[in-house]
Amino acid sequence: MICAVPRYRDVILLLLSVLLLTLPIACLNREPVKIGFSGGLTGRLADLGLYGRNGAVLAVEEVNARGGVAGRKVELLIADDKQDPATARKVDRELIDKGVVAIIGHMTSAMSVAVLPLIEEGSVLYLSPTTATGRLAAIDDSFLRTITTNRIAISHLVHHVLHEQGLERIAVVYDAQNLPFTQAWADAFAESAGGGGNFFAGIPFVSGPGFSFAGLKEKILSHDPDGVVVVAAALDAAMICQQIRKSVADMPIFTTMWSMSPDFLQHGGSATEGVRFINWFDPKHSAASSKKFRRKYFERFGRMPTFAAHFAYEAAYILFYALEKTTDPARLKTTILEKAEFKGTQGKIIFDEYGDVRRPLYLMQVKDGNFTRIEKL
Amino acid sequence: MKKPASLRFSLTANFILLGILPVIVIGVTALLILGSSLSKEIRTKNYALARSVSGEVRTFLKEPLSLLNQVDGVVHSDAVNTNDTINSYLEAVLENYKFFEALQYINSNGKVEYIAPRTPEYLGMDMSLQPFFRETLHTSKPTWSPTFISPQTGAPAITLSIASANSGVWVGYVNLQILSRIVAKISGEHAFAVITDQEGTVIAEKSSERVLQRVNLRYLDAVQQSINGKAGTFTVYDRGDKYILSTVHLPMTGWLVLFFQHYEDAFGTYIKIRRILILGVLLTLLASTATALLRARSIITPLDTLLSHAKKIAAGDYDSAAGRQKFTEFNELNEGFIAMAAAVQDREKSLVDRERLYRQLVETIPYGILEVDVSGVILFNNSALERIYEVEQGQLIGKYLWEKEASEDEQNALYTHFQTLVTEHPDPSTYYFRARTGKNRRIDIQADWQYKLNRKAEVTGFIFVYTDITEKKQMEDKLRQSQKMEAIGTLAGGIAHDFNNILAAILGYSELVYDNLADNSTDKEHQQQVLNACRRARDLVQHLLLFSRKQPYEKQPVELYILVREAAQLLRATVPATITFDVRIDKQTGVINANATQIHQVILNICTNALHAMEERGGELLLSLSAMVVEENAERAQELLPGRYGELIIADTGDGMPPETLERIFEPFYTTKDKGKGTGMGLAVVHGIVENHDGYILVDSTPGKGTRFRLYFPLAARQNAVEAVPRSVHCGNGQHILVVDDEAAIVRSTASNLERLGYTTTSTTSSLEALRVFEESPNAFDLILTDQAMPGLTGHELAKKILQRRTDVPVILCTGYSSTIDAAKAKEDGIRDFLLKPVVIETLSRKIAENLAEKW
Repeated sequence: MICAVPRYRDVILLLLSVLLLTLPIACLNREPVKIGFSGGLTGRLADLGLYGRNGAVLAVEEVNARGGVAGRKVELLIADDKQDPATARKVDRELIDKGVVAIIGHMTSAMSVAVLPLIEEGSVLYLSPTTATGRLAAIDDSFLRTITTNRIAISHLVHHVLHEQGLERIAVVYDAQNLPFTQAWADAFAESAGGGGNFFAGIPFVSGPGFSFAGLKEKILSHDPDGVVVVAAALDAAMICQQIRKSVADMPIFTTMWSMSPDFLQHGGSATEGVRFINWFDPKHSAASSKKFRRKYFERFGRMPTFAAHFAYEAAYILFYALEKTTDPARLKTTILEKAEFKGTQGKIIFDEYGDVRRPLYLMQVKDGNFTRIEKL
Repeated sequence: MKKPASLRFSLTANFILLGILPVIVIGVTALLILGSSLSKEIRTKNYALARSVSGEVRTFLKEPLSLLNQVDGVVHSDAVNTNDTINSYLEAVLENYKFFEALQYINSNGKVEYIAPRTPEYLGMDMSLQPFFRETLHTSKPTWSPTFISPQTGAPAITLSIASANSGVWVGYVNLQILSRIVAKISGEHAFAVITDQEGTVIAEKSSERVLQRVNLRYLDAVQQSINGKAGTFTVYDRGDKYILSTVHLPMTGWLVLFFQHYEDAFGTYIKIRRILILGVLLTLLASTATALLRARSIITPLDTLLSHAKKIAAGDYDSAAGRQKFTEFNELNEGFIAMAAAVQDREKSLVDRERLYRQLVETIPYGILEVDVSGVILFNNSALERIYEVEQGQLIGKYLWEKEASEDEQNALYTHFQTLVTEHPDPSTYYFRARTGKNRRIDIQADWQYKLNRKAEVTGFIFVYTDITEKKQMEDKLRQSQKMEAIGTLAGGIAHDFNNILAAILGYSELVYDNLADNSTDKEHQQQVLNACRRARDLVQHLLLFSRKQPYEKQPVELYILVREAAQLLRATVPATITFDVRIDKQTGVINANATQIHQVILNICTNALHAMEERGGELLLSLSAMVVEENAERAQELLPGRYGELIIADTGDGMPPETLERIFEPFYTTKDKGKGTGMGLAVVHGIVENHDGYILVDSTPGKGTRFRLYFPLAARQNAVEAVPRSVHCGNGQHILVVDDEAAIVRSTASNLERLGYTTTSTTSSLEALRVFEESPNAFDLILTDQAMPGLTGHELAKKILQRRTDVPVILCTGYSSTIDAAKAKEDGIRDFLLKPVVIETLSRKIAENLAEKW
């Protein structure tokens, strides 16, 4: 018999029928590229983490809307380090276990220093938007940042406070929860002011439930300073300003970019008037890219972005650039450093060979409830 | 070209389509209807749940507002008017109403005046930049703030602010945990509610994580749309899951109440029904595919069987037949195939037979047949053509038509002729040309041809029929030659006959005149010359008559070998030492009906020529006789009629002859000898005699190599054979005979023969010399043998002079012909006897014996 066995066409027909019905089930899908975000999302210091997370979220949403990187979607896994070193290491380990190739974070220097063992392990690339501590500078490790180390900012502020403002008795109030960042400021003033014959008082604090800002104020004023430098997060800085101004309305107060968020203004109220910052960021920068980002951020989150949001957003895009070339964590850093120069929301971001960047510095002041640029340094 | 579709595929596909189409249509319709109504119902239900949550929230939100209003009223009443009482009151309020975590009174300057729970350090704090303060003061309406991190607690906070009657602002910090409890009540594993602030940030959820992290839900389009005032029910994907999401906007706060339900739970029933339907469709598809394959197979199988038989038939297996089929139509088709196969088989057989017949015809006929294309290349030829061209089988295929032409000129001529056929299409006509065979033989070809046309009547080639006309041409040449000879013979015979009579008169009267003239007179000598000339003329006429066969001769059956042997014996004496005379005679040759004298003459004439040809250089003379049978169709049949022949070959190794000479040797008076040496009649006479004996004569000659004569005399049938005349050679006994003949050869041969017979001879070629010899010693001779026709004295005159001297001596006169000799007068003059030349030795010996006997 000629057709005792079914011909191949019959088999094809059968397979085709089954395939047609099962096609929607077996949809082809490429694995997304996983990246992590680690920052403090809860607690008093959370504003840095929340804004940073939002910046990263916005960037990921944008890149995915454009088709992802190298044809793959980007999946952002978000972790809350709760501003706690142990938690930071734990959540980062979890992220690494989930297969992230890079982590945008951490948002405070203390947390970045806390995960130094993981940074040295090198299984992921850390790209921190806001870790400014000099302790991680000039080290060829798996750590990059889109913020400049605070050394230059510190020296500018020291110069400004001691020489330009001519203040002699300086109290430096600094958050002991983020010493890697804050300590440097205190040390710099200790060296310049104390060592230079001026008076210097370093006042560390740890805010938290039951903490008395009035008590802190008393401690500060007990030194009879003619200027106070506040190295603290926005809320704490606002509260300190409130307390100091209640007692000495015209006390010159200086603070850092860390405090520079709308929360500082809202919670500090008129007590923030005249407060000065040395800053790498202008919230009203006139560049089109900056304006565009501010608009997008507002549309997405209903409020204006902070420097943390800006820097996290930029960090995410720098990472996307590298991920287009490779998803090998070991090669991401090299890929970024080879290009070295990136376009940020407020101008160029230039990496040095160790993965540290240079950004322009500004002297800012709160004026009529707004951050106002006095000069570009 | 597009490949035709397969019937099997088409049938199967159609069956499948027929099988599943209704199922798919019904299934899809059912799914659409069911899906649409179920979806509507589920969405409505989901929205209702969202609305119920929002109702609860609204109810909840009314309380803090009324409480703040109440606080404002109480604080500014007379009862509560000191700082302490106010603070106590506020503490009591917080204690009783858990939805506020803290209460503040901010004066119109933005400074905190009262605060609960009591935290003195916050008193006097500047809140003037807080949006809720500014808005409430500005609008004098209750204001709900977006979430912010409370400086006091470090946790997300929302405030409700109302304008106080005392121009300050009352601020209540809402306990978000209470809001979370409201939504937690309605949230389960598969459905949950979420409340966001006016920015989309989560402020209440069963789990507090997203509240604490202030997660903004605007990434969901549904949330974005709802914030923009387009609340409703949506299908969303969030954190990897699919949800039905209903949103309700709370106008009072600008908040959103979101109710999420897992899509699969909401549509569980629908999904189950859909799965069942899909499974049903799938099963139906499988079943219909299987059925379709089977059904298609049941149709295709017989078709395939028939197809395979059709292919077998096409391949020539006409006995192939399929068995009975399942369907009537296929059976009819099958019968049709069988009938068709039979018809095809018959037709093919007849075609094959006819093809074989035509092939046999083509191969059998002796004509060369060939087919050429328009470029002149030979595509086909039969074996006859190969025989004509004397080439191996297949050697002509692929060659150009004109390649076998004999010369380059002829090739060009045929090529040009062929091109004319191709371009001008003339009417077919016969064409002649000369070709060269594989054995380098030149042949004559007659080419007849015809066009080869295709269906459109275009010329695609030519069919040629070649006839080898080489022999025909040779026959024609021969015929022409023989006709010429015939004409010459008739002419010569006619003339000779009349001239003979005239000559007789001249001779007779000349002799009379001669006799009457005085001896030794000059006139008599002159008259003698006249007579001599007359006699030569008479001889000539005799030869002419012999050539023209006008002269009747008696013929009788004789053994041919005897005639040849006698001639050989006669010749032997005259063959010079430089020439080898090779005689090969087969005594079994047979009997011919012949005139012996004439046969002798033939041999002598040819041999005399041969000896002449070898006179200077010497050589070999071959005389051979044997019997030969020419069969029907034998090679010789082209020259000789079938039958038995005595073949006489006379070959020399002399000078040979060029073809132009060869063509004319039998013509009378044609001679190549020096003037006076030959009459030019020798071979003409031979020709006449052979013809007279119904024989054939063939000559081939190569200049420088020699000449060969082949003579064929038809042998008489054995039963009719007559014994040859018994030989009776009479021997002498030393008697002295004077032999006179002007032909030296004859003198030599005759004398030689006589001496062999026992006679003594004196011989001379001059009659005058003979007379002198005789007169010297007349009694020395017992018999005189003389030729008649001789210069000087004729035989007759010599005889008369001898007889005048001695009357008793017998004189025998030899003459080639008798008419000029008056026998009676000769007898009267004393001549004893006459012998007709050529003299046969037997006759001669007898005559001599008789005459000598008479003498004695």
